[in-house]
Amino acid sequence: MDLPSLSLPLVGAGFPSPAEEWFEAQLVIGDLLVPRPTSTFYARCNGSSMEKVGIHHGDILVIDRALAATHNSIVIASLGAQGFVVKRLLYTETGIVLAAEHPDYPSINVAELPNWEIWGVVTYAVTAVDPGALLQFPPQQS
Amino acid sequence: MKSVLALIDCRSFYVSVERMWNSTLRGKPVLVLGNNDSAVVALSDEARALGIRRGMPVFECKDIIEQHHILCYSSNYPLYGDFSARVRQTLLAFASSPELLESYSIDEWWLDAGHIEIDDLVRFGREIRATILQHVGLPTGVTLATTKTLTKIAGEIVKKYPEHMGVLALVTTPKEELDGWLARIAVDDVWMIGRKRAEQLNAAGIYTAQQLRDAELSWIHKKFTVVTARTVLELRGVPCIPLEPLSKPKKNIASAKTFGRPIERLESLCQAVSTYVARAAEKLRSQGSVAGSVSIFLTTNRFNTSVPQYSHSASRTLIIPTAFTPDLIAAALDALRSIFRLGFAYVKAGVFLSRISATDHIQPDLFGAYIPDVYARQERVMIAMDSINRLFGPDTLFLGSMGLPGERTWQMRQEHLSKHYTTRWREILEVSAQ
Repeated sequence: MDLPSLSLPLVGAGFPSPAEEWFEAQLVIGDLLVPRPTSTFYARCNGSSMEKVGIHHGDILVIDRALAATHNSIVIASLGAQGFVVKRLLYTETGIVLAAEHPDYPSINVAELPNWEIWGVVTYAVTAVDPGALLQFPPQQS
Repeated sequence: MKSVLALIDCRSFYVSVERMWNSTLRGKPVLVLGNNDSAVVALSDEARALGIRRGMPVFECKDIIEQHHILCYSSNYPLYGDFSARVRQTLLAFASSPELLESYSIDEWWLDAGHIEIDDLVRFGREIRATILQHVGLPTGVTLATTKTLTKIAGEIVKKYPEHMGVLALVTTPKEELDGWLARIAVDDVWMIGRKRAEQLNAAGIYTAQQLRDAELSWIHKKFTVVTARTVLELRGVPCIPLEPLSKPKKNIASAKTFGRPIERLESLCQAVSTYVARAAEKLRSQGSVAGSVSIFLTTNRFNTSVPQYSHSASRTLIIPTAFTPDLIAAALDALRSIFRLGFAYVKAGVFLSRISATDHIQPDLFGAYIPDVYARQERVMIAMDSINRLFGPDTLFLGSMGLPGERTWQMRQEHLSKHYTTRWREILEVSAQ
């Protein structure tokens, strides 16, 4: 993520700024959320089945494919013709389950799927708290 | 110590990128189309097995497409370009320094593997392959050898023989085994041997890579060129074509496209040329450069001999090199008006920015045309425009002379375009939590 950051303060002809000696780069949120841009992808969450882990409808999810999915990871799974889902990955005694985090939504037993795969591990969900925030892009009509 | 190079080659690159976002395409024939969706620019192995070839016009394979329900995509270059950059970034971690990685094309890289023990080369290749597959999601072939030409030979082998699982080192291979491989590669498939040269070699009795390697060097040199002689040496394991250092800032920037349909009116041509200039200027700014000259060309359809033909080009020099889109557009439109002729159906136009230099190397001129304040203001406007377009998508802010985005009827047809999943916030992947 390449957000504009302030470089060295520009000083006029007067005294040099004493802060110049102590310059440190300004914080940029992308550095924290995206330590590995090369393997990072983004998705928008559609639905409320993951509310309990703090993923809301409309959130932007940060997905890092460099991470190995393990028991309890929140993952993006590709279900072929059914598209992509966000679920919790569980290794249970009866097999692998893609679990919802909301009582009203079903979990998926992957043994019943013809083909599926783990696409990536979700590391962050970005929620817009202010409804006017920039994050609220209307999804494009296709 | 022997020098060793690794060639990393993405398999059916464009198709593999589309498959990342639609797993139902796996194992199925898929085409990627270009030039107004009129020709095949990339295809999957399954499509090749049905007789389709790269470069084929779509009308020629229409029956096969319908009969086998082949899925077609318009070429999504922003998406492919992003994936190419991701593979490159991933490979940097495997190079001992950034200058030891060469980007050869959008889907091929060479990496100096001199820092890896000879016995460890296959494991190194497997690790590269597995990392790109997991991090970026694309299948690759990784082949290692002492010369570029031999890495390409190994690349052909892993494509044809899946038992190598995409990785092969031809470094300590016994001579008999290497002979066996080279005998199975036709000279047409040897890197740097074009179709014409292959025909000449065939006429001289050379049909395989093995025969080419064992040909007498002085005879090759005399009968053909030094390029072919180099290929012979490379096949023998003598490195002649070194790794090229990092790509330098481009000296010229071009933007040329075929129109969605032929246009006759100057007004539409102005819109198209303005749009191409705006794209080129954006590229120019992204590499921190300014241009001192703008050239444009336009042409009718030279393949359609039944319509009147006309093509021409013109250039304009800028007193002060600039990256300010309005100034570049003004110069380009001035050039366009000087060569435009009524009564022709134009099918293509292009813009070419040259005399490119770094932004911080602008020389004040003798006539006082360079006013630092104005220049700084123009620079800020362009930075603002580029940031907004990056965040909200291309054409959020655009110049009036480009025409309204929805009304650019001359724009290239791309009816089967996938989303710009990685370069536009509005088009990121949607995942279901229902």
